[in-house]
Amino acid sequence: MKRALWMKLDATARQLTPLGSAIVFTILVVLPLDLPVIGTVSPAWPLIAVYVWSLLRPDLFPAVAAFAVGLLYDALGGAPIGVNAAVFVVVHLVVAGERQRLFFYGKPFPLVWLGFAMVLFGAIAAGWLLSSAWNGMLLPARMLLLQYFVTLGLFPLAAWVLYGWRRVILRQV
Amino acid sequence: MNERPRTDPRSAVAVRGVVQRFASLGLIVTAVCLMLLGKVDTVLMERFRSTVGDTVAPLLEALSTPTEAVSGTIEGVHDLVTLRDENARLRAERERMLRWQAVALRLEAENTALRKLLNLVPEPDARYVTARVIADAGGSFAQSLLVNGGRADGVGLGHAVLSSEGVVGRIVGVAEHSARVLLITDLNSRIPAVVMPSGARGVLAGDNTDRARLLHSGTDAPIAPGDRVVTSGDAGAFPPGLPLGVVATNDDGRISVAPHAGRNRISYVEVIDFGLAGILGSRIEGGGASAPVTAPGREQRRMAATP
Repeated sequence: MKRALWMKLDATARQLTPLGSAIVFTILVVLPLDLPVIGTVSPAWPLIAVYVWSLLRPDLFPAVAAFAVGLLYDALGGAPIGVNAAVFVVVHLVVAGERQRLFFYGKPFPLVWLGFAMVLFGAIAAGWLLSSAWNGMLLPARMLLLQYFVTLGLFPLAAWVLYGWRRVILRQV
Repeated sequence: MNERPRTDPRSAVAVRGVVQRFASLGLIVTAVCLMLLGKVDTVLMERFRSTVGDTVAPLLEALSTPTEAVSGTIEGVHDLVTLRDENARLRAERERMLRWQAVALRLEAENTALRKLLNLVPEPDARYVTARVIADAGGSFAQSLLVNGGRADGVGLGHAVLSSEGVVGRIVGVAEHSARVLLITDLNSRIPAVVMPSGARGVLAGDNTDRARLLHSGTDAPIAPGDRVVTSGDAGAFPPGLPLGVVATNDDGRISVAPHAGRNRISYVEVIDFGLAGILGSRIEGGGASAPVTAPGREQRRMAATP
């Protein structure tokens, strides 16, 4: 009986790790890090987590999880509350939708990366448009371009971590 | 153990897909409603941000120490490379600083003597809180910092935030143990300023880039690159004379100012309560115990309350 309870707790803990890792990524975004070339521009880590988990385990990372991560990103990152919440849910819809999964899932990694390049562009553009509309003026786009390329470049590293996580921790779940 | 499902599995999956799509759309609508709500009631959203920041603050504080160490190491390596030039530059600057120190001491003595002569009421001492930057929302959405001092440490709304180089911004959201700083380069930041040699007044407005613009300064103001921009003290937001930045360019009336407090090296800041209530006074709740007795808002209300 006790063993069954422990197994249930273990399984639940494992099931919460995709959301947990997305939250950790969001917190990573706002840490004050100053690097020589890119300065204080931070890559959109949360978006990588949302994309990968929506692709690999949409059962453990539903639309609500994407919404929550987006809301947290808005609160910590200073964007108008709701902007990234909406954008992340749309990303989840695009990546985890039944028909589109056939397009992204199970394909070799370069295709997944290419898919991310397209999704990232759409997400950043949508976030920029929504924030500009909210503020009533066009926000400077120069930093966003830098953020796009930095995030795209860091995608393999972050995805490798998350794929490895899935292999090790989520194998039994 | 394996029983035949009563419904066709394919339609169950299809139904679930439709339900999920509706749920996603519902979430998107909720997010849009939040955006609109934020436009209407900014205080509520700021309070939400402060609460979230406060909840995450302990984790941020724990994580920001090692990242600061990493940043420091990278900077250290970079510094080793430019060591000799930096040394020469610092020696020259020290010479200049020593000369200014002598001037400052003389002026301070003169000031004290003159004040005594005029029987001037001494200004209330400013209260300082030193805080560490634990989060930096870098990006073009907003320019703000999260510091690890909050209501419990004496930080209140509207307090000035300074680094060793100049004005960084002001406190726009306070929680129990953390506070949000709106940088002077943020879109929503407006600080009454004056350009030093000429005395031309204007408003320093941010635009989410690394420079700020000086607005409403009048097209005939003689402002040249290199002029110092300091706070003017108008509207009681900041005391006068605090260094904001240096004029970078003046393109036919469009004046761009480079802030003194460079974004990249801010790790410790001073949050200073100058005892100024600003034009909003104590009407914003959460101002803490910072408003002094002489704040005009409080005085007028007290006088209006007594019949």
